[in-house]
Order: sequence, then structure tokens, then C-alpha cells
Amino acid sequence: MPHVAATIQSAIDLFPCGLVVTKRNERTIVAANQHFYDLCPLQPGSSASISAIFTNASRIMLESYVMPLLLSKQQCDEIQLSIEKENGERLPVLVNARITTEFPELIHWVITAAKQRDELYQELVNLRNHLEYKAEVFSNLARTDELTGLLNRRAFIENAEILIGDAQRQQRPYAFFMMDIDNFKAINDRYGHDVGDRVLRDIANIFKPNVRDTDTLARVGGEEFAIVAQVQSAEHAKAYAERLREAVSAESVAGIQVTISIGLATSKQHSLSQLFKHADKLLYAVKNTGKNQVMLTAL
Amino acid sequence: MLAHGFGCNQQMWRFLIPELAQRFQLVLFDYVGANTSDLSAFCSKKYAELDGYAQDIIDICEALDLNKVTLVGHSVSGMISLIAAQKIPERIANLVMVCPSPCFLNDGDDYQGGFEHDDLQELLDLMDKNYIDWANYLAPLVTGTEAGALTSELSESFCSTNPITAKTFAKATFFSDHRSLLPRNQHPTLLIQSDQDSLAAVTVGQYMAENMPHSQLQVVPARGHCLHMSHPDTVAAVIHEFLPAKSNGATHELRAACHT
Repeated sequence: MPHVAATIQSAIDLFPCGLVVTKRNERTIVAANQHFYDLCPLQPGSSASISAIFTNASRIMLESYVMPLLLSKQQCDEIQLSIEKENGERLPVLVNARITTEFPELIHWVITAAKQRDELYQELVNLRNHLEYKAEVFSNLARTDELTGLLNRRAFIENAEILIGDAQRQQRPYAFFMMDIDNFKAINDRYGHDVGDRVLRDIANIFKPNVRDTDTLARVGGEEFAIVAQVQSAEHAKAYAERLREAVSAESVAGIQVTISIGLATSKQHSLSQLFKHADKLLYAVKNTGKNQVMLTAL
Repeated sequence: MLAHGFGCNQQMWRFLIPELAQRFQLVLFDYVGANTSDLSAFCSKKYAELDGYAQDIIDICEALDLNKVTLVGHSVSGMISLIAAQKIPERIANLVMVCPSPCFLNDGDDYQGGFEHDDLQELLDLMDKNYIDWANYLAPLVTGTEAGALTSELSESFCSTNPITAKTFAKATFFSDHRSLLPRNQHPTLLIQSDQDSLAAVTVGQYMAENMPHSQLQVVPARGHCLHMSHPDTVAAVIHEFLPAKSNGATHELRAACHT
């Protein structure tokens, strides 16, 4: 076969991948084929360290991943790094390296251009970031009540279960507040739904600064709001509810005098649904005995 | 106590262990987020700062009730050890920092940490493209991005990394500047540097020695940032020389591998 390169030694220069041998510790170049010099800024015969051909960030990868892997496992596969050319151009490359038992003081490197692989991975990274962002947006949408910006019923149940679980573990009392706007149907009928919506938004905005960050506040139904909170005692919970009730009645909402009724249940061991039931029952009791009041049961 | 640096995990120390185990009780651990640590303990806010990692060291010292501890930290763990030592000075006897840097970023003409912000951005980009642990590449999408939901089924291969914890550690490591802690050092400290380290230049070691009371600098004629792996005998020799024989007390061997 006369046209094949005479020896494997001269053929090595023709392979389209960079082949380099360096010392293990100094990483100075002992031998390299022509393609290696085509890829990087070094000149044939250079005894520089192989680290010198890479970008700063690649050098961190080299020292933090490639070298520890090589020294520990004698091999390192498919690591993507960037070569910095003399003109500042960056070339993504794929690096494979071995330390062999025959030559334990040397590292054998294979370096190939990986421009298209890099573009593909960039797309994958972008796609993943985009999906992460979308997932976050959807998750927020799924948990938020659109009108008031408060948590919705589903998110309320999720958060409330966690809060109650924590409180039970710490053996601390917790409270469930069921809050309902008095005569809301009449407001809607008299002033229209736009005003009704505004009342809901304004009341949510009155609640927000009066509720601690650690408490869970949500709109759980048409004109119903709920809070689950750790409390010091039933008396403290009652005072907390009274503050909320007074805060609403003290302000004119959308030009209308609005009040709320609150059914309140405290406990150290009852479940969310049990508290829900008791607070709801109390709320109806308040509605039937004059509204704009707080009723408490300490379970 | 041997504290690994950015990148891998406690297995980094395996070449140094035979050199030290005869004379010292060794405590090895992985920071939360690395290797087989409990990923449910990872909190992206806590571990966004080196203080979070220092807390891991403090927690181990307190849980095992360790005293007269020599903290040996590689790379960024040099500074993590310093933070820990300043918080629990009574438990710490000495500090040994292998290839440390108090700040990897350049600061005008005053200080050359070696890197610019753009380099860090490129590093995060490269890390994204090198998930060594590809199996978990898309896991954050499936489980949500918060750490509590992270899958803990990391492969146990050396240097396999979780994308979120590794990037958090990278940011904490390469964006931070802890030069102001150096003058407050109160423990005898050995700084071991290689004379050709592309991550921590000799000038960085000199800067530390000049600004750190009770410190001494040993420049080892070697290239690279993982001296404890490439030159374990040299590193062991300077550690043995630095730690006076009388302080070793017990000679029995006990090796506690802590997974925090």
C-alpha cells in the first residue's frame, strides 16, 4: 500500500485530533502531534505547561476536576474546556486524558475541537434555564389568587400542613382563623362586581401588613380568607384576630364601611381539617349573632 | 481535621492519610452538597457564603467534642478553616492551609487574585456543560429548584457533582473576598504553596503571610494546585515539621469519616 503514510509516527501528525504527552506533575509538554499545535497558540517545540493554552475558567476546571480525577483514577473523560488562541478567540475542546502504568510520570492527552458539541450544550443549558424559569412562573400561578395576590386555597393547604407539622413537633400551639366579609353579597348586589372585587383586594391589602411573614394567609373562597399561625396562647390568638377585625372596620373600603367576622380555633394536636371545621362552625355562629366579631374555641 | 476544597470531596486526602494517620487522629468529612453528604441539609442561602461551610466544620467539632484540632484545608477550605477558627478559637490549635487564597478576584492594582468576574461567568458556563454527573442534570427541573427537593441519588464516583450545590460552592469560593479576616488570625498557621499554581500564585501566599499574624509560608518547588495529591510526602513532611512533636498526645489511630 504505497500511498499510506510510511510509518505510524508520521501518520500521527495527520490525525485530526490533538495528541499531547506531558509530565505528570509539571504538565510541561514532552511531545505533541501537529494537530495539537493547530488547535492551540503554542509553537512546536514549546516546553510550556499544557495549562497555558486554556482560559482562566478552564484552568479552574483543570485544577479542580481534571487533575484530581487523573491523580486519583488515572483517567479523565469527556471534559469540555476552552483554549484561548493568540488572537483572543476561544475554542471549545473536549479533553480525555490517561496516566498509564507503563509511564506513571506522564499524562497522555487527547484534545479535539468541540465547537458544535458546545453549541448543542449551550442550547441544552438555555433550554433548561428557560424551563426552570417557566416552571417557577407556572408554580407561582398555580399557587396565587389572581385577584388579591394572596395564596390560593391549594397553596394555603400545602403551607398550612407544613406549619402545623412544625408546630406539633415543637409542641407549640397554633391557630386557624376563618375570616369572612360581612354582607358581601349585598355589596355586590348594590355596587356591582367591580366594587366587590375592589373590596376583596383592599381587604387583602389591609391584612398583609398585619400578618407576620411566618404566618400563612390566603383567600380560600369567594369572600373567605384564612390564616394559620403559630401562637403563644389562645388569648394571644384572640387578640391577633381582634386586631385584624378592627383594622378592617377602621378603614373605609372602596368608600364603603366593611366589617369582617372571624371564627378562630386553637390547638396543639388537631389536624388542619379538624380546625377548619371548628373555625367554620364558629364563623357561622358569629354571622347569626350580629357579625363584626371574633369567636374562639381552644381545642 | 481535613477539609476538602472546591471540586471533589474527602477522597482527595487519600494519598496524605497514610502519611498522617500514624501520628494523628484524623477526621474526614464532606461539606454538605458534596459526595454522599445528606443533600436534604443543603440550603442555597446558607451555602452561598463560606460561613455556611465553616458552620459544617464547627458542627463536627461540637458534635464530636473535638479539642486541640489542627484544621487542614485545601484551597478555599483554608479560608473556611480560618472562619471556623475565629468562631470556635478554643477548640482549634493550629491551621494548615494547602494552596489557599483569601480572594481569587483581582482588586485593581492592589491585589492580584488571578481572576476577573468574566472568568467566573465562564466557569459557571463550563460547569453547566460538564455535568460529570449527567444523570442529575435535569433533576432540578423535575424536583423544583429548591434544595430541599434535590435528589440525593448522586453517583458516588469521585468528583461527581450536583449542579446546584457545585455552582453554589463555585460562587461562594470565587466571588468572595475574605482578606479582612487575615489580620485577626490568632492561631499558629502554616501556609503551603506550590511555586507554580495557576489558581493561587506565590504572590497570593506572600500577601497572606504578610497580613496574617502567627503565620509562616512554605513554598514547595512543585507545579499544581493539588499538592496533597501530587506531592503527599512533601506536604506531610512540612506538616510534621510544623506541628511540634509534644502536641500530638495520643498516638493511637482513630479515623472518623463524617458525612455531614
